[in-house]
Amino acid sequence: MEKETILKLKEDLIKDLENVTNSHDLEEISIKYLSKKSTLSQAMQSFRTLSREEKVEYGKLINEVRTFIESKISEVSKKVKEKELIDKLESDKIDITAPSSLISTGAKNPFYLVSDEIVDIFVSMGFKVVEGPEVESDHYNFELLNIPKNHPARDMQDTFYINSNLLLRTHTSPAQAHELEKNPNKPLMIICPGKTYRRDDDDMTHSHQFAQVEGLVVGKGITLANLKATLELFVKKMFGEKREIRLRSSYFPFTEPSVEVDVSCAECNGKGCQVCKGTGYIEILGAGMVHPNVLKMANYDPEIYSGFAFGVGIERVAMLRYDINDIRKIYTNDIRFLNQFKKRG
Amino acid sequence: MKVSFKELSKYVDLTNINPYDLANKLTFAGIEVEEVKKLSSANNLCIGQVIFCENMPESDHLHLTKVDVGNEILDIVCGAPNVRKGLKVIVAKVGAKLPGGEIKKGFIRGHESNGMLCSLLELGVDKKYLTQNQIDGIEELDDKATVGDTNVLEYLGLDDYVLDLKLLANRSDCNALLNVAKEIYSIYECKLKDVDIVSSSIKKENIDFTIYSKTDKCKKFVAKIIKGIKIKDSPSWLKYALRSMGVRSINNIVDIGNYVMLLTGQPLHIYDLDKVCKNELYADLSSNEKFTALDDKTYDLLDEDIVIKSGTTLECLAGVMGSKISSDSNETQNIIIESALFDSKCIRLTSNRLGLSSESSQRFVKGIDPTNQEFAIDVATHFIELLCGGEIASQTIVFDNLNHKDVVISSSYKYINNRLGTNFDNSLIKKTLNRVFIKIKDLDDDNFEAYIPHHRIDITDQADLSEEVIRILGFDKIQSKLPVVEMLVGGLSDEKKKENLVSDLLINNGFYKVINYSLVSPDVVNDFDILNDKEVKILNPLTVDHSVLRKSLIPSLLNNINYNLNHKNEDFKIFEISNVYSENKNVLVLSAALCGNNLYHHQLNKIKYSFYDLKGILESICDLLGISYTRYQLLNVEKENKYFNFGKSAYFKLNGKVIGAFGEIHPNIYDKYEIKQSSNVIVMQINLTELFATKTSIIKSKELSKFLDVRRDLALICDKNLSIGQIIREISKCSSLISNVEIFDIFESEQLKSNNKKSLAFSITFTAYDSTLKEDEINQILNKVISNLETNLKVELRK
Repeated sequence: MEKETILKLKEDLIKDLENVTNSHDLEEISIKYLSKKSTLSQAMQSFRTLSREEKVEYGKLINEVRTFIESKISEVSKKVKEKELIDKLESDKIDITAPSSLISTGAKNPFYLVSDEIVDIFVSMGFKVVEGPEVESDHYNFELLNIPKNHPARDMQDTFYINSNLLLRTHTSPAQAHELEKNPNKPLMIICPGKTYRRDDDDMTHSHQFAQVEGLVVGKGITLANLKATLELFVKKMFGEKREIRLRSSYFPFTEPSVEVDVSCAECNGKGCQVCKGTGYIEILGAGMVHPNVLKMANYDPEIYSGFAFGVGIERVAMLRYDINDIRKIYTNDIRFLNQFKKRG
Repeated sequence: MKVSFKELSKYVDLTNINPYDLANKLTFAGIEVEEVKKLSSANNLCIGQVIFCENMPESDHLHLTKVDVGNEILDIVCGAPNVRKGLKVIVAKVGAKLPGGEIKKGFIRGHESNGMLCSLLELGVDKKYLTQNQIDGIEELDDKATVGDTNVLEYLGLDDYVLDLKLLANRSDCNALLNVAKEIYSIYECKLKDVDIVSSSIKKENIDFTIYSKTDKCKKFVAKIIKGIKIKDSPSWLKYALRSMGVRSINNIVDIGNYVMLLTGQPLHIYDLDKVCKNELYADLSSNEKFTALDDKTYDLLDEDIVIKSGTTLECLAGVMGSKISSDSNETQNIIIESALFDSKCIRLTSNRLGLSSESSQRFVKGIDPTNQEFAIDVATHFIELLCGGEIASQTIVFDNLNHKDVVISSSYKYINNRLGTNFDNSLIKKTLNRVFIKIKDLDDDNFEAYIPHHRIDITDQADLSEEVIRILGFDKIQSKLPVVEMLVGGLSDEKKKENLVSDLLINNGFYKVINYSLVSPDVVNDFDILNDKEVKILNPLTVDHSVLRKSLIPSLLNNINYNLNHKNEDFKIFEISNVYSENKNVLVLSAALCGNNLYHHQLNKIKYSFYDLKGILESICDLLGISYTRYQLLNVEKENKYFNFGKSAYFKLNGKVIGAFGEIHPNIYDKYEIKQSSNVIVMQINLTELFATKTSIIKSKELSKFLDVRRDLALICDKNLSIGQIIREISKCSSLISNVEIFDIFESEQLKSNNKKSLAFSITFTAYDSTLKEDEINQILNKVISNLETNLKVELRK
C-alpha cells in the first residue's frame, strides 16, 4: 500500500470528525479507521511481505498514523461525552424555585426566649436555679418576707386566695424564703424564674398571670454597690454593652434600701423618645438590700450576713425587646405570632 | 395624694424651683410623682364686661354681644344661656390657646366674632369641681374682677401645677402637705415656712364635757368645742386650694376639716355639739349594732369596728363615716372637733368590709403621725376662727393612752457605709440624716443614736437609716463593685436540664412552645385530668373562666388549636411544659398537640398527622433520657374513655405505672372545644415528674460484631386484629442471634379482608459475635420462628 494512502487517512479522519456530534457517529468513525476492516488494518496485513528495512520504515509510519487516529478520536470522544452528559443533566433539570422539603423547626413563645436568656446569663455568673411552688402559703408569700397580716403592702398585691392560708404566689420572692431557710448562715446565689398571679383585670399591660425572675445573693459583706455592679453586668449582657442603669428610691417590704432600676433606652440611647416616654430610661427591675428582718426570720444573723435581691418581669422585657404592644398576645399563642420568633440567640 | 404647687409654696420656699424638676427629684428620692399637671394651659385671656347683649335673629340660642376688655370693645357671638348685659366674663381673644384649640376670628351666620366668652370647663377645669350651671354656661365673675385684667388664671386660682404623688406604702407621711414640704426641704435644703396659727383667746365658760376611750384600738382622742360659728361658702383661696388637691368645696366648716387633713395628714371629724346625746364622747368597739350613716344607709357593725358613742348613742363610725344624727349641717352653730388616733388594722377591716373608703379612712389605714392630733386641732381652730367666726369654748380636751416614745435607733457610721458599699465621711452621713429631721447623738467615733421624727413611722431599723442617707445623696454616688463570694455550685437542676432537652427536641422537630394561663374554667378542669385528684378552687376569682387551677394542659392546647383554626392556621404542632396542681399533687407535665397535616413538602406532599407521629416523639424522648423500650409499654385505651378516641390512642405505661396517654381526641371533645373533626387533632400528655425520676444507667459501649449481619425476609398472613408488636416480640424471642426485626410491608387485599386476614412482611437481622453465621444455623432458626408463629399466634407463611 502506498505511503500516501496511509498518510491521507489523517486528513480523511479530520474531515470526518468535523461533523461528529454524538457518540454513535463517533463509534462508526472509530470502526472505519480502527477496525480489522480498516485501511490501517489492511496495511498491517501487507506487512509481512516487506523487507526488514521497509518493515521498520513502514511500521513507524503505521504506528504514527494509528497513534494520531487514536488520540484524535479519544479527544473528540471526550468532548462528545461531556456534551452528552450536559445534555442529559440539562434534560433532568429541576425547578429550584419549587417548594423545599420542609425541615420543620418550631419556635419558642418569646416569653421563653426572654426567660431562658435571663436564666442563662445568671447561670453563667454562677447562680443556682431554683423553682418554688406556685401554690404557696401565706407564711412564705408574705410573713417571711416582712409583710405581716394587715400590712399596707398587702394591698399592693391583690391576691388569689385558695383558703385563709393558701394562695397563688404574688411574686417569686417566696423562693428566697424557702432557700434561705434550707441552710441558715450559708452564702447563697440563686435565681428563681416562675409564674406569679395577681388579681388584676387583663388588659394591654396587665395580666392576672405573669412571670418573674427573682435573684438573691447572700454572703458576708454584701453591699448595695455589689447589687449595682451585678445588675449593670446583667443589663449590659441582656440589653447591650451601651446600656446604662440608674437607681431610684423605692419600697418593697423585704428589702431596705429598695430601688427601682431603670435601663437607658436602647431606642434613643437615653435622649428621650416615644418608647421611653421622653425620659430616656425604661423601668425594668425592682431590687434592694435584703431586709434584716427577712434574714432574721430565716435564722441568718443579719449582723454578719447581708444580701441583695432583685426581680425582673419577664413579659415586660419581652414586650420591650420584641415590640409587643399587648401582653395578651403572649398568652394567645397565634402560630403566625410564634413563627416570628424562630431566631434563637 | 394630689399636691398643689401654690399651696406648697406657702409652707416651703419654692423660689427658683420648677415643678417639673421638683417632680423629678421627688421621684428619685422615693416619692414618685406620676404626673405634673398644669391646672390650665389657656393663654391670651382677659377679664371683660358685657356691655351689649341681644339674641341673634337667625338663631334660637346664639347671642350677639359687645364686650369691653379695657382697651377695646369686641364683637363676640356667644351661645351660653347665661350671657347678659353687665356680666363680668372671661374673654379668650383671637389667638388665645385653650385646651380645645386656638381661638380664631370667625363669622357666624354673617356676624363677626372676635373671641370667645369662656366657661371654666373650656379652660380645662375638671367637671367634678363644677356645678351644673358652671358646666352649661360661661363663668360668671364677681364684681371684684377688674375689666382688662389679663392675669385671669391667677384671678381664678388656675395658675397652679398639681403634682400627683403615687405614694408607696412606706411613705404615708406624705399624705400631708406639710410633710411633703419637709421632704422638699430635705432634697433642696430650701427654707421651711411655719404655719401661722393665731393664738386664740378662750372664752371662759364652764363646759362639762368628757372625752375618753374604752378600747385600746383608740389610744388617743383629742377634741375641742367651738360655739357660735356661721356656716357659709368658703373663700376663693380655700376653694381653689381644695380644687387643686382634688377635693370639692362644700362649705367653710367641711372645707376646713378637709384642708387641715390635707395639710397635717390628720383626719378630723366635726360633730354638731347640740345633737350629741350627752356631755361626753368616747371610743369603743361596736357591740354588733346597726348604724345609720351620713349617706342615709344602714350598716351592720361587728365587734371589730371602732365607734364613737355618747351615752349609748352611736355618733360616728370612727375614721370611716359620721352618723346621720350628729354630723354637722348648714344649721350647725356649735361644734366639737374630733382628732383621734385609731388602730389602722381595725379601720382597714371596717372600710374593706363595708366598702366605705374615704380620704380619712385611707389615712388611718396607711398610718398617721401618732403625735399630731393636738397640732391638727390647733390648725383647724385657727382657720375656723378666721373663716367661720365663733368662740373657742374649751381648752383642747385630751385623752392620751398612747405614752408615745420617740423611736431611737442605735447604729454606726460604719454600718451605713458597709450596707451601701460607700466611703461617706461620718460628718456627711450625720448631716444628711439631719436633713431628714433625724437627730444624731454620737456615742463615740463610730456609734450613734438616731432620734426619728414622729412623722416618719416607717423608720424602725438601722437599715432604714442607710436608705435615708442614699436616697437623699443619690444612688449615683454608689461606685459599682462586683461581689466577692465563696465559690458555689450553680446552674440548673437535673430535672430542669431534662426539661430543656425535651423542649429542644420538640422545637427542633417543628413544635411551637406555647404558654397558657394556669387558671381555667370549671367546665374544662376535669378534661384529660392527669392527676385524678380534686381541683384547687380560687376563693376570690375575677372571672369564672379563670377560677380553678388546671389539672391537665390539654384543654389549654385545645383552646390554642381552636383559636388558630379560626385564624386559618391549619397545620401545626404545639406543646407546653408546666406544673399542674390539685389538692394533693403538684406535677410537671408535658403536653403536645398535632393539628392537621404533616407538610413534608409544603402543600405538594402532605400526610395527616396520626397517632404514630406522637408515638415517635415519645420514643425519641425516651431515647433521649436513656429509657430503654423494654421498660415501657403502650396499652389500649378503654372504650369508655371520654377524652380519647379509644381506637386511635394509647396509655403510656412506664415501670408498671401509667404516666401518660396520647392519641386522637374523642369526637365529643372535638365538639366541646368547637373544633371540626376534619381538623384532625392528636394530643399527648406525659407526667414528666415521674418520667424524669426514672433511674437510668450510664452508657457503656458494646463491642461491635466483626462478622457481617445476615438478613432474611418473611412474608406472613395472619388475623387482621393481631398486632405487629406481638409478632415482632414472638420472632425476637426465638433466638439470641436475632438482633432486629422490622416490618417493611403491610398488604390488605379485598380477598384477605373478606377472610379477616392481613399480610405482613418482616425483615429479620441475625448478628453473631463469634463466627460467621452458616446457612444451616439460619434456616434452623427460621424454621423455629415459623413454627412458633404458627403455634402461638396462628400466623402462616405466605405462599
